[in-house]
Amino acid sequence: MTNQAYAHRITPLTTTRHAIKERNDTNFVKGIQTMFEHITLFDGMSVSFHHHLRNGDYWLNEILLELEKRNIKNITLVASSLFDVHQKIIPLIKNQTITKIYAAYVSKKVGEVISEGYLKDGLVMHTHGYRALMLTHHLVSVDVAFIVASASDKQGNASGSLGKTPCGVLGYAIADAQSAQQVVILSDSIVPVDKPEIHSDWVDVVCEVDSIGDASGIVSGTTQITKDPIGLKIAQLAVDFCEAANIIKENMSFQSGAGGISLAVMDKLHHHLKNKNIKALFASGGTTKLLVDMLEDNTVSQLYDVQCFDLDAIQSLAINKNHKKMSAMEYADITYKDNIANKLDVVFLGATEIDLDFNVNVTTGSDGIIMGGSGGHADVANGAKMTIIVSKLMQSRLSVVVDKVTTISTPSEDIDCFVCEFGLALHPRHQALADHLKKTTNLPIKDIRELYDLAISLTGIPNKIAFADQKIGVSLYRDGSILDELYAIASV
Amino acid sequence: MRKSALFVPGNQASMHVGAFAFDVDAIIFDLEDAVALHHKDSARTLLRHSLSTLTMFKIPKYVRVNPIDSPFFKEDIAQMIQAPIDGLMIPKADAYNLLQIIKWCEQVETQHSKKQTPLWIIVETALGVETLWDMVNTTDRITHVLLGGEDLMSDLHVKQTYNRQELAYPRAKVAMVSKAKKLLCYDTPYVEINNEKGLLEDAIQAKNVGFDSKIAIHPSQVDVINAVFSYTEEEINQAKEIIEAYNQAQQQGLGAFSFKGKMVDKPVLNRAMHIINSIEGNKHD
Repeated sequence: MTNQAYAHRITPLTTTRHAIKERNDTNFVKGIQTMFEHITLFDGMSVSFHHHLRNGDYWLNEILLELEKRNIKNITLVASSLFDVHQKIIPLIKNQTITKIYAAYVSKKVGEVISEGYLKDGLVMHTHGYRALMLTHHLVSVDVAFIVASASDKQGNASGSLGKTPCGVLGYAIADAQSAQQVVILSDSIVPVDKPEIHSDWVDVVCEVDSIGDASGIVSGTTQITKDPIGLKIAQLAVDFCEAANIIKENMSFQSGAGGISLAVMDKLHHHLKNKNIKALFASGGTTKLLVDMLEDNTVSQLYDVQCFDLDAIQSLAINKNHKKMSAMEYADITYKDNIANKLDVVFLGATEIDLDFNVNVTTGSDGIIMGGSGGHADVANGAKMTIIVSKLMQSRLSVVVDKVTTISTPSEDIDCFVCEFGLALHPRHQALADHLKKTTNLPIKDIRELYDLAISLTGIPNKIAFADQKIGVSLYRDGSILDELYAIASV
Repeated sequence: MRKSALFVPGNQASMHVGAFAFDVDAIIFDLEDAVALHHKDSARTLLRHSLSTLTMFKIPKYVRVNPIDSPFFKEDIAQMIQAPIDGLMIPKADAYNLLQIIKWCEQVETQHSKKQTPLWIIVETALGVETLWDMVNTTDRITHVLLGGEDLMSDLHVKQTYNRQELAYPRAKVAMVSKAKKLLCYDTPYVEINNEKGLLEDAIQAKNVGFDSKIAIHPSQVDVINAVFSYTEEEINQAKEIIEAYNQAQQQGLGAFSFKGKMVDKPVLNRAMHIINSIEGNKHD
């Protein structure tokens, strides 16, 4: 097999895992130069990273820049998500050190260069759930998983909850650890680890480093509740709809996205549950102080946590037995029978665009440039009984409701309701519910076209985005099927 | 049942559309206090363009112009009367300056072949309070009266008291005169926008003396105000039952009838009908 072909294989490797070391013989090293002496990496191989350090992550950049120094080319980057902090890899995309990327989310700074057509072998955008499936079923093989952990022992029992710079549960990294040919733990706190997310049995090398990242970026203010009165109005309307549609009840389960309005829904829901003395069974996904408060005042019985967004969530995970860690497989992998996503009653998610057929785009911006991705959007939208999109009707002078989304990130079949400041629209399959609510409540039930017409009357119809013929990637559903294709933007 | 009316800065274009998302009876675009002196001209131009674009929204639109003793008043009136609005809000109105205000409005209306523009007057001076009866009898343009508590306190040289003692007389006067002339009256804004409890108590005081509603100066105040000036479920149910009892009495040819052991007289029936009519009129489109 040539190195070139090696980068694109999608079948399991025939080589034996741990071939480069004896089992139970984890290497403990200091510094990445020594670490590289203990792993095998050459042209065309694939490397994986998790995103639990978000914009505080040092090591995705550092490792890939080191590969460039070592003149290793045609790398497939299997990253759970790429943030703005990772823009240092842009030259590596341009000089073909990195030629293919798998990710559930790509922020705009990195997305821009991909949308300009520089990523030679393209971008595969998947969901968190499908990433876990893809890795653990070896549909994509990872040669080296680099797992940054806030704490690890010398054997490789690693956690995100302990150490100098805790980042919370390493839910997305477990699939990498279980499936990669070689697993490297990078940590700045070599300490005994009780209840690790990553078990030493999966680990080949533990590398002690000076720092895992910038603490302020790891738990940055990306998860603030909106204070915008319009956002708060949308949140209240979403909760009012749930109340009227009999979704809010004892033992309900729910999840929200991490956007400001989705978090405001959580806040309103919390107050509603408390006032009505209703106790929810569980909440899931990424956790914040909002969910921790609900757990602590008994408005929810359990939290299932795949990643922590703030220090309160990290601390709660350490001390509250009802705050449970979960892996990406347990969260959203469709081959995992009891995946949490499929048990959800209701989810509140954002959207960059929603079209008249209720398809949702969270991947590309109004300029056609990649600036996001599904993350768990399509996983929980598919799994939950009721999926509610909460968004302002217009963002930056453009309508969020469009005739056809630029990219399908989550398909119409999985979307039930769109709530904006001017009303809420139900998918046509819920016509009976819409009719019932119109008769029995004062909720501003609208047809989605009414909302579209209102927005267009204010914004006008925007020009179509000009795309080039060059295909730059695909958007995958949670079962791995192709939802949409991504194209380079036309040069102006 | 009346909902709040919401003030929106005239110079904040991004807020002009968003304001219509809120459940209010009127939007009042402000060219006075919300706009800095050096932005007065640009705010006026911006607002006129906004108003000509926002015609798809059915919520009535008013513009608070600058006071008659300011250099901006005449141009505010001249521009806004030409815009698609439901009325002008006039600050610091009293029986003496109102005549001049009407004269200038008439001049602009004639020049542009416009119908008579309704006025929403703000009573916020001692002279305004004391000449309110004269004002509402001077013209049939006046449709709404707003009590402006902050400026009035300034005019009286008094501070805000815990239970708004300083507003007891002006509130009673504004409510009484407005009701006598069948005009809608709105209570003064509550300026502590993060004090929901204070707003609630203030709104209840206003409701108790006869105000139809209260002005909101921030969207976060709208729901609290609407809740205070709405009828309770108990009031609505009782009103429905009284009307049902009345209909049955009519069918049986009875002039007088009783409800739950008490004779129902005309004021009670009228109030029940007013409640039901208000609710029907306030359902969402």
